[in-house]
Amino acid sequence: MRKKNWGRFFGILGLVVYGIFVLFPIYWTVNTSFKEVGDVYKVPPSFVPTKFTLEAYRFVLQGTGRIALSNSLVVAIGATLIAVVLGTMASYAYSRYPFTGFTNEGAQFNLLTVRMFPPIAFLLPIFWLWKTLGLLDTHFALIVTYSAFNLPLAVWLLKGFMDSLPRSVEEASYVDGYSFWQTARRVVLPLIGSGLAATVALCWIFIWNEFIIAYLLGGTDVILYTAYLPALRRGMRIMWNQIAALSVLAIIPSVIILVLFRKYLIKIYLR
Amino acid sequence: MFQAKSRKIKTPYYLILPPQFLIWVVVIFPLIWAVYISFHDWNPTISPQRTFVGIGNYLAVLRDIRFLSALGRMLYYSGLGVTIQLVLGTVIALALVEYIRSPRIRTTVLVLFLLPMMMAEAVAAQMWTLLITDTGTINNILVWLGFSPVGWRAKELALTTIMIVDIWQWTALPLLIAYAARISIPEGLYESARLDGASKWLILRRITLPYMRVPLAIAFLLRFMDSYKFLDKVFIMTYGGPGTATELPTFYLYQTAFSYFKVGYGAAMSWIFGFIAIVAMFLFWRLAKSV
Amino acid sequence: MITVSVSHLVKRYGKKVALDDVSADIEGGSFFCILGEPGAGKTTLLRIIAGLEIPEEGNVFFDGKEVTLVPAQKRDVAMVFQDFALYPHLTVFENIASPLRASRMEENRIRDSIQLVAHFLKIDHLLDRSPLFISGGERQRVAIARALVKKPKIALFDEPLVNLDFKIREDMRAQFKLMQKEFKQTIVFATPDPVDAMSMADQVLVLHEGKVQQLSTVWEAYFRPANLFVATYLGFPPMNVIEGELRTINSQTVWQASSLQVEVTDRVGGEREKERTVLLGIRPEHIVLGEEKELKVRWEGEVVLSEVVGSDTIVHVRVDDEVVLRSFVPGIYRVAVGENVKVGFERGDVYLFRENGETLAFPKRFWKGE
Repeated sequence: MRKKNWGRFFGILGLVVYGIFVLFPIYWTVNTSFKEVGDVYKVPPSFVPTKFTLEAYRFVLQGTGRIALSNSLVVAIGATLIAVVLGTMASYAYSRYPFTGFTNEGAQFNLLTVRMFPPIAFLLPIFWLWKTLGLLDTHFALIVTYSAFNLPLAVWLLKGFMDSLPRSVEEASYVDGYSFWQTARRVVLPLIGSGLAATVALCWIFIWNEFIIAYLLGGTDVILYTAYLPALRRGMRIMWNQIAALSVLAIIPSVIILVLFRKYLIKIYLR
Repeated sequence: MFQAKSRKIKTPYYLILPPQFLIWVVVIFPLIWAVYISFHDWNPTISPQRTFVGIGNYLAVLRDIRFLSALGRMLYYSGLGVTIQLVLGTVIALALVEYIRSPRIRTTVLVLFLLPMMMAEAVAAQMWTLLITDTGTINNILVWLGFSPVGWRAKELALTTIMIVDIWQWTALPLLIAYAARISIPEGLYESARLDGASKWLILRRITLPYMRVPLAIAFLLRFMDSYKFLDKVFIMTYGGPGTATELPTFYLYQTAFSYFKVGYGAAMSWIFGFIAIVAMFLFWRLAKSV
Repeated sequence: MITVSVSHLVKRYGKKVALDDVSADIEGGSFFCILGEPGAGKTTLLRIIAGLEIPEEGNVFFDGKEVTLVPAQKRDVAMVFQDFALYPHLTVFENIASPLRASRMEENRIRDSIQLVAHFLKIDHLLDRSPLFISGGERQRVAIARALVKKPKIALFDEPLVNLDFKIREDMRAQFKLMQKEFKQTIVFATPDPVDAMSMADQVLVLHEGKVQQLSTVWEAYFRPANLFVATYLGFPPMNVIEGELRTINSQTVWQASSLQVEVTDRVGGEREKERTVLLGIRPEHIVLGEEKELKVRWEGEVVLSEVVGSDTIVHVRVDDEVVLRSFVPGIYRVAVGENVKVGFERGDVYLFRENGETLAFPKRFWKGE
């Protein structure tokens, strides 16, 4: 019994140590975001703000920070929507109809290349594509690029859900007298609802968190928050409290998704 | 079902054409263009003239000492970093299941441990930069406790520092996968092993680890791909420096194409790098399957 | 009146031929059974009638109008799928209402129609439940209700009894027949189980490997099978079949297989010269054990197995080195393995088949025409 208790003691101690390692930077960021800028550099460091203030948030939400966040929102929502809508169409077709050689394997190939190649390798030609079309630094280019990069993931995830949906249920709907589109709305979409939600969550996280595409294809006229963060560090005195505030604001949507979708995340990674 | 005009099954091409169109325009077509340009010498900031050089760019990349040392750094950064993430993640996941009995506390702890994974690499890099600058929080605490400050971003340590940040952020993924794999092992196996009087160590070696092998191999693969793909941390924390101390291949690629505007050379480099990456993945997968 | 008719249907899946030149007319208001083993093409035929599948060759007619290319939603058909295919996200009520809503029926008429069908199928108490949390038998009745409620031109049932346990199956057979009479509904019923066909069907279409074996009333198929396949398929336990030869002994025609002989002069007529190898069939229920009855044919044998099925007994008797006959004895019949018994049957009860399976002769005494 005694031996077992020691094992348990060290096990939980290990978890606590790892927990401190994981949570300290997050705690420190939140802590910093409520400080005045002078407080940030103090020695010894202040573990709670000496003077609690929302000044950093106010500044971020008034200036370019708000524009960056709203740009990110527009781009992430737009690209997620396109990726999931097109992904639903394509995954339905791939799941239900026999596609001859190329198209089916082509989709799988697309998925692999997009997943394995470093994005920077794609970005070189894509950068020149948008530059040639005069669309660099526009919402349009960012949305289209992000949706294309996440489409294979969406197709792959959704095809799994479509495959597990029995075909006879759709056929029952046809026999009942409903058309193809009515059946899609009445039967297919409600039944893959949870899969759809999980796909939306995953695409959203990838797009919302992306940096290098945002940096290279946007950056001046359309700046996303990930690209705006390093810009905040330029200047004589680094406004760490503002960087922290923007970081905290940027994490919030992802945290909500994590809490809401934790079950699906486990399921997706098990496949 | 569609109104049939003939007896042949009508494939609904209109469902897959828009997605395929998007992929072709934004992914495939630019890639083909990249193949074409990789056979040329082209610096658009100097002149629009493209000179055909055949496989010259490829040969140059393979002799480029900067590229090769970047590959070496990747081996250290991704190879060691991801291995640590995998081992640490597995240990934490098993400890979670073993030592925390209450499902509510367990889920809460799990969600907290997954937090770093949910945030942008860029955000994680910013958070840590605040901690590890010469006058940053960690050094402040060290000085306060009477130690001497550490040069986290000095030449010798910079790449390791970034690796630690990567471990901080991404141990969560193997942890999640290991956790999911562990809880899907039927509990009956453990019960019968305990009835047979098997030791904990034996149970771990004979039941837990064999069951988790495939998910863990997938976790390694996913993590390895992402760790060589992303350059966000290097970009934000050190910008490749000091000197070229933290220059990973993707970052060198970025520099070549977007700072020096050697477009043809950059295209050739991205193909070589992509090829190396795919071969490495493939070999790893074969290895994981055979073990 | 003929409601649905199919002619010369051909359907292939890759190299496999699912239907090979299948034609049939389905009478309005009748109970039409498609009988065949798994993979015989039953489901394909149903799906072509439903409009879920298009045949490569051949045509489908509804009331004489060609509908081969008309999709399911425009055909006025209903189908009960093998897995029932209920909508898991809707209540039982909404499941049954589905076809009525598709035709934009008024709400109170929908309610009345569902009440009527649900009452008949005894599922009124389930209407607010989810189909996920009711039993298999209940689920099946919901699927049937959904098919009947819209009073389709034709209702198609794809092996609906296969997934149910024995007891419910017995009940459902009786219900199906009642139901069909009650709603005067044309029903096409696909099943691998000849008992289904014999207890319910007016007409039966026997399919084997995509080909029509016989299309007739179910009793005609039973008593006058077109070939060996139909003869052995209909009836349980299956017919005993022994391979032998026709010989002429003392100017009489005799079927013979080593030591076994049956005199068949009046049965084969002028064909005796042509048919050398002939298969002899005798149904187990026509084989009597013991000596109580006066029977024309009497063989001796040894009991090798005796199995009780339900409340009846099937006794396996070896009458020759190679030949074991099954005898069907009503009631529980106790006999020891290894015991010597006499088996007997009437000469007139035997079936004769040509080497290629075609029927050469069948017993006359049962069949006096419809």
